[in-house]
Amino acid sequence: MTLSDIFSRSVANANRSWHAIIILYAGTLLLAAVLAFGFQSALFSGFKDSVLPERLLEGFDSDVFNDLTRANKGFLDPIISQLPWLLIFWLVLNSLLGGGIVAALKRGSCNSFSEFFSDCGTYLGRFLLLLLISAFILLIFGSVWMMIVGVLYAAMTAGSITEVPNVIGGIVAGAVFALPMILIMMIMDYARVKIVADNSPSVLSSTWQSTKFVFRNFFTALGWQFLMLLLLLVLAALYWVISDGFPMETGFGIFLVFLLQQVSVASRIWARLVMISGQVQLDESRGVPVSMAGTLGYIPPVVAPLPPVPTEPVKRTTSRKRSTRRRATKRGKGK
Amino acid sequence: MNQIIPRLFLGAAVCLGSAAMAQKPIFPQPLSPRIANYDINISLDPKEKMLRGTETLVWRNTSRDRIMELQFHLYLNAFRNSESTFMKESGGSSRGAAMDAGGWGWINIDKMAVRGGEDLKPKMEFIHPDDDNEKDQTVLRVRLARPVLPNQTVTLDISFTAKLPTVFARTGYYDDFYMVAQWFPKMGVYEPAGMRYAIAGRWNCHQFHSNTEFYADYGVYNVNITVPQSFVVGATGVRENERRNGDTTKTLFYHAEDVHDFAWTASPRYEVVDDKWEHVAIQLLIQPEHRQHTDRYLQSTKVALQYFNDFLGKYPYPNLTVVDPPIKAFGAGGMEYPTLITGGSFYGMPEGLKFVELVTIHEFGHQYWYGLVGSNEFEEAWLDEGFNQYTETRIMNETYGVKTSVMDILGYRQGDMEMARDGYLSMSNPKIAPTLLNAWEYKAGGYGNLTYAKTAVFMTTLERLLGRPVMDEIMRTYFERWRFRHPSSRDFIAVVNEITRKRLGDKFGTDMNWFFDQVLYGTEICDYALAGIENRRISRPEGVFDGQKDTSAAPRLYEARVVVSRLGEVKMPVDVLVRFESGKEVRERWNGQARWKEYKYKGEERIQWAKVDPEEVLQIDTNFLNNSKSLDVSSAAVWKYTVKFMFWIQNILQTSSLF
Repeated sequence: MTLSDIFSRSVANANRSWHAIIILYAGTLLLAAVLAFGFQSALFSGFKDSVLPERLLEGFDSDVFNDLTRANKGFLDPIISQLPWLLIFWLVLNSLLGGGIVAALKRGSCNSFSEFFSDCGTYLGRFLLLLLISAFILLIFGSVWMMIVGVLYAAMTAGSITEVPNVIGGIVAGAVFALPMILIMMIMDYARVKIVADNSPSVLSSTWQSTKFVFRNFFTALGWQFLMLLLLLVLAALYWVISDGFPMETGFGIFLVFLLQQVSVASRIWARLVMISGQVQLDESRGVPVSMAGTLGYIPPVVAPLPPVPTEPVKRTTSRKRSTRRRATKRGKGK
Repeated sequence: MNQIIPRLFLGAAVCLGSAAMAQKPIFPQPLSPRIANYDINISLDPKEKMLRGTETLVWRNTSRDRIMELQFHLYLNAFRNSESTFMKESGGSSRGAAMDAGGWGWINIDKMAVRGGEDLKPKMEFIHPDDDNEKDQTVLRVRLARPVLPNQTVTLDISFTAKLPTVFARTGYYDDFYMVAQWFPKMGVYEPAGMRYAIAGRWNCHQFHSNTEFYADYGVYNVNITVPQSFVVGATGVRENERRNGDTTKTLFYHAEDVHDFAWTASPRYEVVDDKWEHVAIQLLIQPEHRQHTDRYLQSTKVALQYFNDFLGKYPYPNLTVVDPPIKAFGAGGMEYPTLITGGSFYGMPEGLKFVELVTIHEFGHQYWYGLVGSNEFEEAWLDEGFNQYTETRIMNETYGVKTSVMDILGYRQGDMEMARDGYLSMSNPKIAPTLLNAWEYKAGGYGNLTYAKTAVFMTTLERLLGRPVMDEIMRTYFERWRFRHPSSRDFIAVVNEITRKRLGDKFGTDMNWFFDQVLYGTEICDYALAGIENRRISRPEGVFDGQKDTSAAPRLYEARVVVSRLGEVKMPVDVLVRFESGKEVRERWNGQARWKEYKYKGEERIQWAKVDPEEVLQIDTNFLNNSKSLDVSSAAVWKYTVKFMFWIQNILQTSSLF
């Protein structure tokens, strides 16, 4: 399967998974709106009934901004201090939603919100554990790697009499630092896919499987990642080009740009689903052969990973049967 | 090192005394009194970072006093050790750059003698007129056996050796880059009674402080500079001769007239770009890694030349050298010397960041405010730094946009006047000191904010109060009157009073002293506010009275009220603009003296909004936000930034999803 095949299938899968897009979009909108309304309220109270802010409609105005911050020292602090907590909450929420998203993309569709949330619940614990593991690895490896890259950077720029080596060295160091980080994040992405695909109870085992998978399919996996990065850049460029044509000078103009921004956010979410869908397909088409089973802590999936059929977790199937039975009983009683 | 030093000395010796014979006059008639005149032969030892030189100083006594002593600046001794006044005050860092460990610099006088007369070396003593720091060696005094009589000259022969510091405060070296400034034994200024604030004749020769810059008499400089042949040299004045010596060195002869300082730079890495603006030959000495900024340097130099030419008058010198220092020697950047300025840039600096233009225009401005008008930067820095920043904001805003002249990147914009205003108002305590203060007396900070930024702000306020034509006439008159002289703040204020009275009569009172008393000598702040708007319906009798028409259907009557208040102590005349619902506007003039003022209007209309100082004439007002009130505030701007903020948060959340 080529990357273009994967891309076209992933786009189709992402398009079918509109439930997930809606949920993710609603999540970002609601969380951002909480802060944004706080921000708005701070602005209203800072500006009071002054006419001066009208100047901001013509573009950023340094006098207005500086007078606002001087006259209302620290007025944004309560808003800014919320941001880290919001991010943590969002990461946890993502872990919750991750199971539903991967499962939906693996099936190729999401039939209902209840099915989506049911999948979310099934994988929540494992995805949360994976989040903690990835945070731990990124922190430890990132720190060590940063030190190594820092030493390399210092060596590159030592004795330079101009700033050019510092600038170029900085860019190179940034890239050198980022690449392993991207690799770790890729491994974690595929670990999520494997948790769902294999219904593996062991997060560590799935992480190990995904590590092997990424290294065995290094260029394809990396290529897919960069293709998606390109897609994001194209979407961002499209937003900048289009939004440039809508000056935010009137209420209507502001509303139009708001709509455009929301389309942009939704398109980012869609691109993310395309990426995950591609990862699912790559996993399916190039997954760990059965012959690998039993080695290095690999636990074979209950259902063989190939061919790709939607995997119904045992627990959930059981509980559904139970609930169906309960409903039937209730109906029976009712009659 | 052992090889090169004798050869450098040989080169210097060959040139010794050759300066005077090579000079060609630049100006047919002297433009200045030419009080302190120097013939200097200097050689640079790049291995030891040493200067070895001889100096013939001809000083003319233009006073009526019998001068019994001479005073000299030895600026390089500021970097001699940690006990100098400069190092104690600065802590080894200046203008954002820090001194390297062990990068000391110093200057020693090896010989000083009156030509054909007494040896002054035994009589040399260091004095410290500004503080009690006996270890400071930046001011030297010698007592003379025979006085210098009025209108007589004294000729001194001086030999000196200097070690350059690593560059962090204007002068010194970094690798093979040399910015040689404040480097030779330099006379102080003798101020006779009546000049500036002198009641009796006195030497004005201050120690080198962390905040202070310079003050010197005009004169003629003939300087032979000997450097390795691979070095590119730029210097004050006109290069009249360049000669390769019989060793690895070359000697360049520079001649400058009617200037009060001499600086030079040398480096083998410079790229030289020559250009011309009218009669001025512009030479840009730029680092190879900054060559992408060549046009920015040259264009901004020409913009500044043109503006000052139109604003004040002709730049009299035939040339200008613009120096782009390496980033690791940025302590040498952003400085002014006669006919030579240093700029500042870095590799990859985006076009939207107008730092190259801003620094170039600012430093060029000093050719006028410091170079041509020789105010005392030690004691009255606002007269050069403040005037220069005021002029810079005019040039920057008129050339690169009022809102974008400093920065226009990714939606963030700032104009130069806005930056100046922010520079003043962002101080934790804008009342910390007056603007007119000896520069070394800003012990608790505020030198830059108050002398540069606050001056630019109150000069713009003055311009807007008086009007641009009157302000331009004031500046031009002051420039023409005090060119090649040493004015004081009082001299400038006298020009303001004279022109204001001539052009505007009594509009602002008998003089403008009230303005300077508050903004220059005072420390208080200015803040006018629109305190309130009220529309009160007036009930009137309804019905039919004495056979008149029924008045029940008559339009409603309102008593509309606007209250403006003065929150700060500074008092300025100010306009109040009131707008009614129909669009009708009423402009009121308030003298701004009382704490508050009420305006009442009775009629059928309600007030929609009101503004105090609607055109923001009073740039010195500390808060524009409270200058207006509206009963129908548009929330569009708030929504605009709320929407933007929300979009940013959504994107941050999405980006974090990658984890």
